[in-house]
Amino acid sequence: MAYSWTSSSRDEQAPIDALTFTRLSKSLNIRDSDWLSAMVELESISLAELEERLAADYPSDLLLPSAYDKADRSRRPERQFVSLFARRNLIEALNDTQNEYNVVNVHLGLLTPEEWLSFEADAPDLSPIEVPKGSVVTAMIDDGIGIAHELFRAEPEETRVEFCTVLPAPPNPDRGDASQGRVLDADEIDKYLREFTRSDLLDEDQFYSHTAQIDYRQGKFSPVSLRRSHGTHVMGLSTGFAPELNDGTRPIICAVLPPRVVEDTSGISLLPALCLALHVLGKQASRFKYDGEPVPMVTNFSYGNFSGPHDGTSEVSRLFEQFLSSDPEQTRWMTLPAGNGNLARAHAELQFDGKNADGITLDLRVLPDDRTASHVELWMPFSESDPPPDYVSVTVTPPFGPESLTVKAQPGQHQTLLDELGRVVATLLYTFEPAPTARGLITLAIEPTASLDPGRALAPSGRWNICAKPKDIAPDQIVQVWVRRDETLPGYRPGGRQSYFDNGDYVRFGPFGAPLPVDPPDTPSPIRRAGTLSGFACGPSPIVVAAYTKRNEIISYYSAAGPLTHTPMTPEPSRNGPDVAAEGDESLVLWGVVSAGSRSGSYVRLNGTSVSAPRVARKASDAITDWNGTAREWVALAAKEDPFDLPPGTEPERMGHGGITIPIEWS
Amino acid sequence: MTAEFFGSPQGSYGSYGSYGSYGSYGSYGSYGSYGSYGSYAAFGLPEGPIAAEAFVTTRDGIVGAPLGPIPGTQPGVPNDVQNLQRLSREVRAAIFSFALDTQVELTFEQGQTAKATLWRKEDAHTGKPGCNYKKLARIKAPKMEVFEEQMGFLTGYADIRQDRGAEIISQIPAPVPFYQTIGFIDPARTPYTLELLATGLRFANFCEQQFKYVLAVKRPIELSPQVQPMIATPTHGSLPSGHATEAFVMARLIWKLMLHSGTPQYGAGGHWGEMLMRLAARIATNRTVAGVHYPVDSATGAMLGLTLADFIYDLSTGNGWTTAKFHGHHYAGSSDFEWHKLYKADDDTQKDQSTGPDGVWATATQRTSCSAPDPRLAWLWNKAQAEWVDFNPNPTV
Repeated sequence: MAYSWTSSSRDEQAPIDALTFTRLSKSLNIRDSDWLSAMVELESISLAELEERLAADYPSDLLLPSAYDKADRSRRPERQFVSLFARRNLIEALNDTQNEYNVVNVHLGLLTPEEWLSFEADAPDLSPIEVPKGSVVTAMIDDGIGIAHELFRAEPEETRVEFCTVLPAPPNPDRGDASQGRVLDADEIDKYLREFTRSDLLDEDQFYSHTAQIDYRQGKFSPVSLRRSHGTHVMGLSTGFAPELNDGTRPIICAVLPPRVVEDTSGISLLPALCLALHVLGKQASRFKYDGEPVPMVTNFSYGNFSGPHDGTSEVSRLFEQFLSSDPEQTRWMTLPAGNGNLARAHAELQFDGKNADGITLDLRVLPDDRTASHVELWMPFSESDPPPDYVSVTVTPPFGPESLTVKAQPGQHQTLLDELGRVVATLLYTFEPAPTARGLITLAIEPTASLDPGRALAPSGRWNICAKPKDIAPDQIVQVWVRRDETLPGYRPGGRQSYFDNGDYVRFGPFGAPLPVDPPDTPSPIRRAGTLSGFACGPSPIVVAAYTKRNEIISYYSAAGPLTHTPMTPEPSRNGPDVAAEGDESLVLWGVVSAGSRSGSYVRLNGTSVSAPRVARKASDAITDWNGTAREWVALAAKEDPFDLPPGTEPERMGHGGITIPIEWS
Repeated sequence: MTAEFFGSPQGSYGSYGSYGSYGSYGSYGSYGSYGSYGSYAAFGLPEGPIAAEAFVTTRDGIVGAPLGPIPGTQPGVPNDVQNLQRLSREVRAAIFSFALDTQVELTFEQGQTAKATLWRKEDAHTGKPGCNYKKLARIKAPKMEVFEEQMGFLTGYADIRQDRGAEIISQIPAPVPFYQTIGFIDPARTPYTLELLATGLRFANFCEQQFKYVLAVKRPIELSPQVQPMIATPTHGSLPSGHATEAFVMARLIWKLMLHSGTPQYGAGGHWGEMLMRLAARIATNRTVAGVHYPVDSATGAMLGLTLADFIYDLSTGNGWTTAKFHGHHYAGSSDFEWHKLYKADDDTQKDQSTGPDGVWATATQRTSCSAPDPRLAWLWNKAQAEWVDFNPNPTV
């Protein structure tokens, strides 16, 4: 197969979001009538105004979720993130830098079946719920949460889950209070607990088929149908207690995200679902009151990714800040995992000094049989000038050539790699992420290397060269590069395989054969472990948790590290890595920690920073009521009070304030 | 565990031909000792020409001159269960199978779909072959659309194969060891319970294979090339599921022994019964996960198994039985298998009606006994029942 590069004309519309653009512009089985979820960022416009403006141009292409009540719709903050459902032509219009709807950011989510949407839904009931003194709302967002596990019950037939929204399920028409997602309140959950308990034993398969969390007939994959599910395990750590310990002070609210498995293989974004989940949970959290005042909330979200600007300005980071500050009367803390990408070889730093003055080449290994698209993001330094400086130029050479024409860090730069039939197999384009990020972004999007669809254009697998040459860039300025996370977990369907940098000068192992968890000093390699912190975990407010391996007394090899990308807007980045490290593995051999399995009475192992973060959330729930400072100030002190010793010299960028010991006893 | 001992339940089909590795009984080590009963091998001497030669030469050495007739030997006791105790297990298996198999008959009618009825004799043990029959279990096959619609479940359940693989492979043969994780069953402790279960399994297989044969329901693999079952699809028909039938026969037989043992913890609350049925249902569902059965096969098999277990109980004790019908035309394609719709474990009764979106798909009626207990089966049942009676911790009180 011969390939050729072609430049796009410069006068075509400039998209806000490159990924949204490439997904929509290719035939990805998205029909004009299909509904798509999206997250948009609005600037100085209220939802009501947006709706009104769109009503004229796109009368039947928008569904604003009913979770946005009247007050939400009339508010007009400087910036706000909103989750919505729209048809293709509307999203295309919003994703135009010249759009007239004050939309400054767009993120395309998932194809959403029309029967999963309710167009008539009303705003949900937000009447206050009185809770005992000392109560803390424990919130969770995850996929596959086994809410019936006994660790989340107050009594055998009484749940602690006050609210749960199952986003990948049709709304319950009898409730009529959600545009998307099946809403379960404690009454309904208790009803199922009573109905399906016989001889003191709950039939959980029946339970989950009634909560719409499991539906085999639709062929819908649900992690709760497996023995081990991420959400159940994580929630067991953050807020699981044996029923006999229940004192009514840890109500649970949770949101079940669509599982990380979708047939759309072009690079999915869970952001719209996350944005909606955060909004819904935020509204619910404010209902819990003691003596007329909202009680505090601790939210755990054990998700991470590799990409983003890593300077605290990403959409996700700002979305979290919006969520944490949306009820000024309620203290809200959040725990996030540091990420597991330390050894993923998915990060590179391009600094054009000394021997690199002429340019740097990255070898990107794109695997065969990769059924999903691969993406590499090259983030330019921060710049307030308009247009920003032309920092670097980039060319890309696929395996066996040819090399692309140069793409500069300038608006309108766009190259596509076509196969013999003229189909796009890779795109290299420049976009600009507006303030507060204020960085140019060159994205290389590579189509899948394998597909069962014989008509699908396939990119070649093998070693792709990305060659960056310095232009208007100072020796101390750095272009930061990340490969998007693209690995399909075993058993999930899409079949993504993680691309990674394969430069020969990257040293993987130490002299005794163990993986090197930190970059060797003075490494000539542009591929770095430093700076792999999850792209979700770079914001200023959440507690970010690394993982340690307990018996070996080390930070777990995979636990991702800071520092963050420097942001000139503030004297210092808001953080330099995780805040603290908690247990993620018992030992190098006995990986992971034990927590709730998908069915009552079962306990399973899972590892990663996903399981260290909820441990800290659990402790935070005990402390939040009496603490007057910030969450991160608290965790710094907590790590001193209950330390876990890590070797002297362990980098703060990997462990923050150090290890923390948090025993978990469920009963 | 020999084939004689456990008869020919579903699992044994795996041992035919190239699928030998699936069905091997050898994996259940604890049953190995049974295989040697009935031969000299049990006493440490290998059976064969050398042993025979040894016996010949021994006799030559010690036999002595022929003695005259020795008087006093009594005749055997005909038709008496006392003899059972002195028979080998394999021989008893044939006796028990005869006792059960000769009580049933199967008829077939072709309507919109196939309909098969299993009949039981009404007036057994009268000394002459009887000819009055009552309906024991009737199965009317669902229409083809139901199976087509149920293919959606095959796709959905395939996603959890990674989780269930070990179970599915282990349950290809008769999954007795799984019941041993709930009931305290062991060859040393409960040999007659195991013999009763083997009897039940053989009888279940005897009946279910006839149903499968006459109803001739196609397997999922014939409806789609994408099922790709993770085990070999058995050659016999899909409905009713043999695994479901046998799993529920076993679960209910064990549960009846527990319930009627007088042992306090078994009688209170129905916990063991609930767990046994959950296990049976999981074994049945695992066959859908594997890609060889529709959920409706499991529903039908569960109904048949529960009914057959009650029938065996009636023939053994005279305590009543249940007649059940499966109305295939009212089983919705959208319905998954839910055993709770068929049976209530805590009081051991089959539900009068099982309903779904398309109406009543199963009915059951309890009947009083219509024949005297079969002495041979009663003997086995009582032996098994005694294995579940607890010892009195305070004999003087």
